[in-house]
Amino acid sequence: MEEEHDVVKQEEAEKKPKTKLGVPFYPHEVLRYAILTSATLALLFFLSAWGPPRLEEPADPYTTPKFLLPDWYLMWWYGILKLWIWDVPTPFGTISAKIFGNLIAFLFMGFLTILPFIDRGRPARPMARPRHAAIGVGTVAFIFTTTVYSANEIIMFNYPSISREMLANFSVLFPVALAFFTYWTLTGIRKRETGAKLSLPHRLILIPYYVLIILLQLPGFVFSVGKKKISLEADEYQYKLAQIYVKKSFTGLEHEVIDRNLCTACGVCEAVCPENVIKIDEFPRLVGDCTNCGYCLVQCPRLFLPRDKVEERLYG
Amino acid sequence: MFDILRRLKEKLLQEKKKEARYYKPFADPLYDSEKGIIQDLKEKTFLKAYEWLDVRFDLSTYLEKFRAFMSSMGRIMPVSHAQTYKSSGVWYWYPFYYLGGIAIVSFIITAITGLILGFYYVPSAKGDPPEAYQSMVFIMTEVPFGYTMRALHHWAAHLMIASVFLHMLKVYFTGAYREARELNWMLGVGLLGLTLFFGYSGYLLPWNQLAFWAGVIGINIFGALPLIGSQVASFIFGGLEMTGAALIRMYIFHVYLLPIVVMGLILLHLIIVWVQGGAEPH
Repeated sequence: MEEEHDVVKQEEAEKKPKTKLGVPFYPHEVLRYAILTSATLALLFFLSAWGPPRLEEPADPYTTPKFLLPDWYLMWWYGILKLWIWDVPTPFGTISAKIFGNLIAFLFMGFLTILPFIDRGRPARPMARPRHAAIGVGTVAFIFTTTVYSANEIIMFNYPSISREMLANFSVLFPVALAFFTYWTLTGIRKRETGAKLSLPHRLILIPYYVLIILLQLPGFVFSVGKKKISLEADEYQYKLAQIYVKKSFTGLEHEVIDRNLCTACGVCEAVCPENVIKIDEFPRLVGDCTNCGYCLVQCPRLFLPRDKVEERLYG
Repeated sequence: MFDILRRLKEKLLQEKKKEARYYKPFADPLYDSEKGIIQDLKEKTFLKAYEWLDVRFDLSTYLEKFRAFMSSMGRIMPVSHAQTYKSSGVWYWYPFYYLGGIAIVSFIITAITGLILGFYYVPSAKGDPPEAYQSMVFIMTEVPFGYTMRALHHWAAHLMIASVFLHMLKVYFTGAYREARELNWMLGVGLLGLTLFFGYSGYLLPWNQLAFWAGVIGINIFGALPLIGSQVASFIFGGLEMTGAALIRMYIFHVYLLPIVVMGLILLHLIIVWVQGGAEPH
């Protein structure tokens, strides 16, 4: 009997819509997107006005330019090709250096494609998985350093004291060093969050992190001086937003609650309506003329509370 | 939108019923004391257009079905990472969730400006200087706003590639490619490759020194693929040397093939995101 009961309970739980804290797409998300899209367009026009692309010399197959480079987003590929200068002997014959360098780049893209089947689990923030984040940072740094290395002839031409070996060593060692640094920083942050004691070198490694945090929070701190501090719980935050943005009428209630399958038919809207024009059958519906006072909407508990909290507030 | 339409229809029906029941001597049909005259006029014209379509195409049935489908999804944007952890710098984090949006906005800009540039561009390597180069000079000097159009096209393309890179990094570092979103990640990697090729093929079109020698590097890179290298290179560049054939192939890739494929894949990418919802890293 108990087992059956459990099964029924489980089915009920599955039928119940998941209560997720979220922001409505309209107007909140749309407003943010509108602002950021305007900023993007402004950036584009700014760049076009102040840095228009030049038209170089016409193509001439007979004069090789002094320095050969592809566009910046393909320079890492070219850099890998330049970096790997050794032929690889295999049982089936030697692979030339150029082909092997190409293979590295193609294998990297292939690895990216099948990454989700190698690395399984739930989505997690970088702090929770320092090794994963360290590998990512190392790879990004490697793409950066190979981009630099692809321009090695230009660099060596302008700064004669830099040699090819120095650049090659830098482009391999810097990513590795940065990966280790990231790993130690993230484990340090994690340890600090859990309240464990940190060793002295670990504390020293965290110094750049503290500087970054201070720099990020500085503008917010400056603007908040002399202003009343607002701290809202998540549900209160939703409630405030609802009060500000939502159209105050029965249509608003329909749009925000009933159409989203959030209505529990609790009856609050029927109780507060000053004109007595809301009737509840299965869901609230309008039986007379709405005066757009918005009481029903502002009072609706489903607008800002998850289902379990509504039950708690109504029935104790 | 559908709510507005339904509301308007109900309102119209109610008004018709009221008019049938009793005669109102001073009721102006365009006057609404709360909303004002103009808004009601707007509603009336909108309603007329809607009625016209509804009579002919039975629009309301389909719209109602679509509305029911939309509301059954019950979609709400998830609270962003910064809000979940109550970190103070919401606005520092939020743009990271918009990088894909930047890519789409710049794609639209490149499509519009590319259309205008395409009116004047000639994909031919004949003549001295080559006709492609001559048409670029014409766009930059004679065409009204041609200079600006090219600059916008150039920078929007670069912005798109940069934001696609950063978008992928954000997805990597939050682990959002993990279970349930594997297919979309693979689609995204494919889109990254196509975007790079999109940028590269556009880079070759002006047929200046940069373009020509970038093409030479490209032939070297594709030609060095194991086993099928020379075949791939001659398919993409129309031979193992840079000639006019390479230019016309790049032109076809850039203005015909890639726009259709990339647009379709972007739509698919977006639909999958809409169905699955955003990832919530913890």
